[in-house]
Amino acid sequence: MKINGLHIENTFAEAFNMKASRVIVTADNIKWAKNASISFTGFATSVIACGVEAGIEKEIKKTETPDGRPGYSILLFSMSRSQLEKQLETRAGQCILTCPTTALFSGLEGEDMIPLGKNLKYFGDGYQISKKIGARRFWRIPVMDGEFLCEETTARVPAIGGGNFLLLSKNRDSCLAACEIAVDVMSKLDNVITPFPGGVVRSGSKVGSKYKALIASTNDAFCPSLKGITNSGLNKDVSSVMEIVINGLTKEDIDKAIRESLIAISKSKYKKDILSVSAGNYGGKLGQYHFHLREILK
Amino acid sequence: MKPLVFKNKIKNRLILDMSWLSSIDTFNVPEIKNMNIQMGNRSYKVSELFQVTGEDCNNVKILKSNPYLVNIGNNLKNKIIYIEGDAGIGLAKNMNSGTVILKGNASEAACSGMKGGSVYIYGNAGNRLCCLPTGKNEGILDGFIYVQKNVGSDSITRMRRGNIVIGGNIGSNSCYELISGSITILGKIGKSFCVNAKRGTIFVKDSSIAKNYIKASNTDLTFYNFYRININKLINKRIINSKKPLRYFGTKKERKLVELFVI
Repeated sequence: MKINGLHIENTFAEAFNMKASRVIVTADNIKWAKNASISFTGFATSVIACGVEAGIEKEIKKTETPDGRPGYSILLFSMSRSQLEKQLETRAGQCILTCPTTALFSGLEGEDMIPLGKNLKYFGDGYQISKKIGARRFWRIPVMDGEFLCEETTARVPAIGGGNFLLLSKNRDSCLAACEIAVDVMSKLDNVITPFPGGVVRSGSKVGSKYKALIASTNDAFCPSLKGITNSGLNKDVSSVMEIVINGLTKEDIDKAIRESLIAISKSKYKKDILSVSAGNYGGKLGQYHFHLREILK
Repeated sequence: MKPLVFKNKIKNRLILDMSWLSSIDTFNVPEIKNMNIQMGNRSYKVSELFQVTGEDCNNVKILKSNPYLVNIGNNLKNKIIYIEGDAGIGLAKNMNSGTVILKGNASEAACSGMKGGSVYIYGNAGNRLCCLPTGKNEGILDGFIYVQKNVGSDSITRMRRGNIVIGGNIGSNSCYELISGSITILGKIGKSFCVNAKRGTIFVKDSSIAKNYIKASNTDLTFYNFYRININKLINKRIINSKKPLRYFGTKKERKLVELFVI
């Protein structure tokens, strides 16, 4: 199958059930909201070692935030509720509470609530003030620049992590440039994030390793430097492969992200160097969701 | 589904307890019409006192209401009650959740013992709004109340939490022993306001009461702006406009943690 001349392999991405939450970080100006958000989503690329996968979903205008200040919405994904709770509180405490002028709000509605400022309030040492508006409770924690306003809880919802595709390219420059186009398209979409640095992964992994202690190791079938000595999945012209991992709240959100980003690549000048688009899977036995590239692009 | 409408056709001047309205849980209109309710010393069928139309028991309208209809919304749970006309004493008494919208004036002791939900009074409210209900020690536990015009005296006693917005004046002895919660008063304030308060946040336009409070820094107005935006959204009107309030924190006499914004 070809889309505007871009070859799409007949394969699928395998993704998993996850738990997600959304928070909104605001500050006096966008610069400090960004500082807090970047810090909050740092070291959150993969649940393999980070505990949580997180990313900035989008910038929010001041007319759309709960306190009338500019901000960012952030999505966090985890395999378990306890891990999500722990990471959310730790990151809120260390990255948002500490950042000047910020406030933190829930960005999702739902029945399954997890703590956000519920335990952070104790930082106020008894001077914290609770405010309830409707069914939502907020905490005002006195800090040195004024007050840290934080919603007590946020919702947790079922979500999907690990949607992906791989760009197989003639050279590294075009591969990265095409990935940047895809990430740029996805950054404009709601309900999805690309948790890796700049949204791109170069170290795609396979399950297991020759070393017993490791649960994942390099995806040798897609390493161009190993073409001659391993059971490679790459043809002789491929010299660079990069992956984009997409986490989303629903299957439709990930479908849309894959479709729109691949169409954007197919319309770019870098398409001539992209030899094909593939996807990462484990034979279809591990993940609950399969994203068939050709079906998505039909 | 169309809202369940009760059009008042009572001619005499007897008080009618409307508590039964909150417990209607059937969509069967003939059954509702045949319900027996007590007025004075005799029992009536609902259809004898009201012209009943519609079917949605969770969305109720009372038309031609008057102050003889008391306890409307008593113990209300998850219903919307819309009232055209005045309401008698005990409006939204011990209300748990849901919404009461009154297009008229409320009599005494409205919202007493309220635990949740929202009450919008597009008129005046009588004395003892949010007063202590019988046998209870807190006038309002939670919920949102908006009174468009004035409120009588002895109102808002021992408020625990929730939000009250008063568009007009409030009488004397109000906000007695305030425990917590947020109160906005856009008109004048009567004597002995907020005596023996413990905590809570008050937004006022009447700066005369500020003399009892300690002036505080207002470098961070995050909460104020957040509150202003949310209250304006709840009322669907830009009722709190000031972007540069004066902030006071703590009472001069007892050093209680009451926060005051003069807006």
